[in-house]
Amino acid sequence: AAREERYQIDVHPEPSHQDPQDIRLDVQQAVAQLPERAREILELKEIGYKYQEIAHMLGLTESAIKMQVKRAYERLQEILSSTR
Amino acid sequence: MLAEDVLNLDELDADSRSRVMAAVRQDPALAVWMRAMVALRADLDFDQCSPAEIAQYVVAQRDGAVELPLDIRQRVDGMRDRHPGFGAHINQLEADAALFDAVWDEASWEEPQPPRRRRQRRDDNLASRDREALHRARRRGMLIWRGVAVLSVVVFGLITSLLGTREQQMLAVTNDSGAVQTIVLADGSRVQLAPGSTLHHFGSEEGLLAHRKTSLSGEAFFDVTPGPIPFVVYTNEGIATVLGTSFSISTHAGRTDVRLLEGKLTLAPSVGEAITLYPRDGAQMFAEAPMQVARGEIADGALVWHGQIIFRSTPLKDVAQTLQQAYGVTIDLSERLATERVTGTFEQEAGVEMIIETLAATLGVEAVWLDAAQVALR
Repeated sequence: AAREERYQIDVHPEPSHQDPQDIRLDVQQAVAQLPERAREILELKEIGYKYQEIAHMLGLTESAIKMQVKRAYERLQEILSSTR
Repeated sequence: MLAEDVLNLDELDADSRSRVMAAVRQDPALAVWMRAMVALRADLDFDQCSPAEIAQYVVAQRDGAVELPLDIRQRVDGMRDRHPGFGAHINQLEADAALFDAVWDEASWEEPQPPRRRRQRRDDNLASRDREALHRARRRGMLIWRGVAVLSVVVFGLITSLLGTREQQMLAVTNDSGAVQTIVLADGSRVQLAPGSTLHHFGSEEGLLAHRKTSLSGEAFFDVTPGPIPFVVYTNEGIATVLGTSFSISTHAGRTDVRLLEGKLTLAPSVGEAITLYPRDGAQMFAEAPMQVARGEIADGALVWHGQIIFRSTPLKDVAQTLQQAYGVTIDLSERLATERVTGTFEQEAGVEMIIETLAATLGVEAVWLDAAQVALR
């Protein structure tokens, strides 16, 4: 089914926001530091494209895409452990 | 590679999913990766571009003569700037639209025929490279919207009518795809159509003739955009009228079932007086017997529909109750969280861990797993 149906969530208006958890902020900032190509692939995956489709869209092989994902994972760990 | 499994969690079977989630609970590095994925997904969700707006944007990009409201253009452009993946997605939609146009131009106008046959004839006219690309686009399930199978000429008419160039539009969709399909109507209302069901929609805003009419054969879940023009659904056993709300309708031989999640719904059955349904009410209308109403039938404000669990403005404590009964997981909530209202649609197969992680990310809290069957939201 379409991605929107899987995880579409709205929280109804709550005027007061609580402060973001420290951990969550770290993660969001770390993700923002990933190389653009890695973010592109991760986002396309989240939007709902399959590896094969992403490979075709970006003109890469499926294994190249998976390698990018692996590197993004490693880079994320690097970023997060260096900020501690 | 486990990091990749976390990315593919939706596609794994239940056993593999349990295995991966057990690994996530034991490995802090993997847990962080999972939170990163959930955060990415949340970011993409909350920038708020609806499928209808994205469709308008794509059509306007291709046809300079078409007007696009500045607000929509700015929001979609903003998302393209902030999200490289979203930008690639838009490029893909534009390529799909170009392909759709090529198919259209190649074919000659013929008398209306069942969609499948018409599509076959058009495909024959394409070069094999284009045919392959069109096949890929269709396998993705959409040419313009995510998850909508483009099934007939009239659907394309819907795209142009989104832009107000047509006075009236009639939409006829039959879902023969084997999975639930989502249709976005011109007013932004969304209909999830179950496999094997048929919907006809006729909408117009022309002054006194203003109406939004739908007839349904089969099953659908409606999220109707609030507005002054009544949204009316016709079935064999009766008529449902709403101004803006979320409900499901299911037609059978001699009987139509209605269940209301949010808002107010007026039911005019073929036998007997009209009544009003309130949230969580259900009703059955019969061809030759009086209607039966079940007040408060939808327990805990959760509608389970075609493999999905649907909440609309449901207090979190009721959401927790539903998830507990469905998955056997106890969810600890603070008093303040318990009254937060949630609107969302979950696939039952997604697995409770993913649902809870996503809820936590949405609410800006953390999900702390005390063991495999207990989690606290803080």
